[in-house]
Amino acid sequence: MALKLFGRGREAAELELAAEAFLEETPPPEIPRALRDYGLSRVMALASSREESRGGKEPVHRRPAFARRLALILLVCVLVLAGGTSVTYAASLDAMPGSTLYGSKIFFERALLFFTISRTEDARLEMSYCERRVQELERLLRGGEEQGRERWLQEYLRNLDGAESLLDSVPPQEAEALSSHFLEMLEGHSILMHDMRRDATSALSPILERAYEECGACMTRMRKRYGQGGGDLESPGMPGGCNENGGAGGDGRVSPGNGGPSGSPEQEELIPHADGSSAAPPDEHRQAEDPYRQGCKDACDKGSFSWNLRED
Amino acid sequence: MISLEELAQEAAEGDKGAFARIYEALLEPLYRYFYWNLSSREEAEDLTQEVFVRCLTHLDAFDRRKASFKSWAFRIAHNLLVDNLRRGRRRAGEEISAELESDQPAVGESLEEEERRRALRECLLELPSLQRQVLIMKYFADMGNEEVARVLGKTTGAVNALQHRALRKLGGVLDERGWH
Repeated sequence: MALKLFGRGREAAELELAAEAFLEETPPPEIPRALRDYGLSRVMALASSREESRGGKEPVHRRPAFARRLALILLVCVLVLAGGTSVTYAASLDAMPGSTLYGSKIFFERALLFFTISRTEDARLEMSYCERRVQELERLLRGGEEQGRERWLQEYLRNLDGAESLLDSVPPQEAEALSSHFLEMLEGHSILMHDMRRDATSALSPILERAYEECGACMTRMRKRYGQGGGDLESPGMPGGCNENGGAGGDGRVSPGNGGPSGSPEQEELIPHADGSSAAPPDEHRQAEDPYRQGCKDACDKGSFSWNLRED
Repeated sequence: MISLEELAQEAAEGDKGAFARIYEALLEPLYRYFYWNLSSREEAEDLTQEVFVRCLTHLDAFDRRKASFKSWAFRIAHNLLVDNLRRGRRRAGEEISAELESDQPAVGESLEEEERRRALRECLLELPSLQRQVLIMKYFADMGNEEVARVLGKTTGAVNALQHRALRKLGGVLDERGWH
């Protein structure tokens, strides 16, 4: 077997050697005279004629002038787009429901929400948007405008719902503070809307009623969920609950929802809440001192949201 | 001595003399490459000329960091040959033998030499295309394994293996035809 293999290997090597010898001994062909003597000039002539024809038919996109123009057009487009966006953003900040720019305002709000990566910041933004909606409502009432009221309600309810659902997904250590603030804010809204109901026109009245109801329902849900008196709203004086006079809840937290420390009937006028409880009117001084609330309000006013509203 | 790459750079800058020197250096290997790969001298002549035209018109595309000028020129030649063979595949094998028969020796070539060359061309045409390419580039175009590998897009090891297989097969064919 080994001999056979050796024999085959030897045979193959012999064949290779023979072929190599044949290749090396075979004389190379003569170069044709046409190629040797005139080939170069023919090549030159052919190349220059091809260059000429190629130059005439060069695709437009390969011309340097085209690239320059395209770059310029793109630059102008980017600048116009960026400029236009900035101008629209600035102009839409004060837009009211019913105006052309109100859609843009809402769009920018949603875009900001989209680009925020933290759920906590999302929740804060939604709360600041709720505040903004109430400010819009105040302006609508003051101006006696009725256009865009449906849209306003739609956006307010969406912001309420968004803030409420986002609170479920924020970390527990932040959820407590956020929910407390949200509740406080809702109670403020409730008080404001209660006042507004008296001055509302017939067209705005149903919208306001609906917003007031939803605000109250949201407050109730928040209290139940986060244990700030929601479990026993009807029972005055119960721990965590809200008494009829707006007295402090059993948890002792400082918030209008559970009455707060200054919820005595002798000290303040009581305002009924949409959810049936009552509370003292918002304390301007206390609100101004709360950096958290102030941050949200500032963000609303400026139309931008700060990432460091609150030092946690 | 100026390398082909330097000459190519000068030619790209418009120096016709530099291109003439490239032509002089590559004419023989390129013509031989086509001559041994094809059955007709005229075709070999036309394709050689076409390679130079393409080299000249695309000189600005040559990048000396990627390949030597010779490899680049042979890559063009190889692509042209593949296109030509693809077009010519429709022709019958008999037609190719007839072309070889009618191929007249050039002036100054003896009949005996021509006979030997014709036999080798016939034997080479029996080899698979890649094996034939390797033998022709190595024995008639003075190219090293690395250059051949670059033209064919293979590794040097693969080229080496192809060369051994091709030589064995060629030896067998020559033996069958009584050329040993």
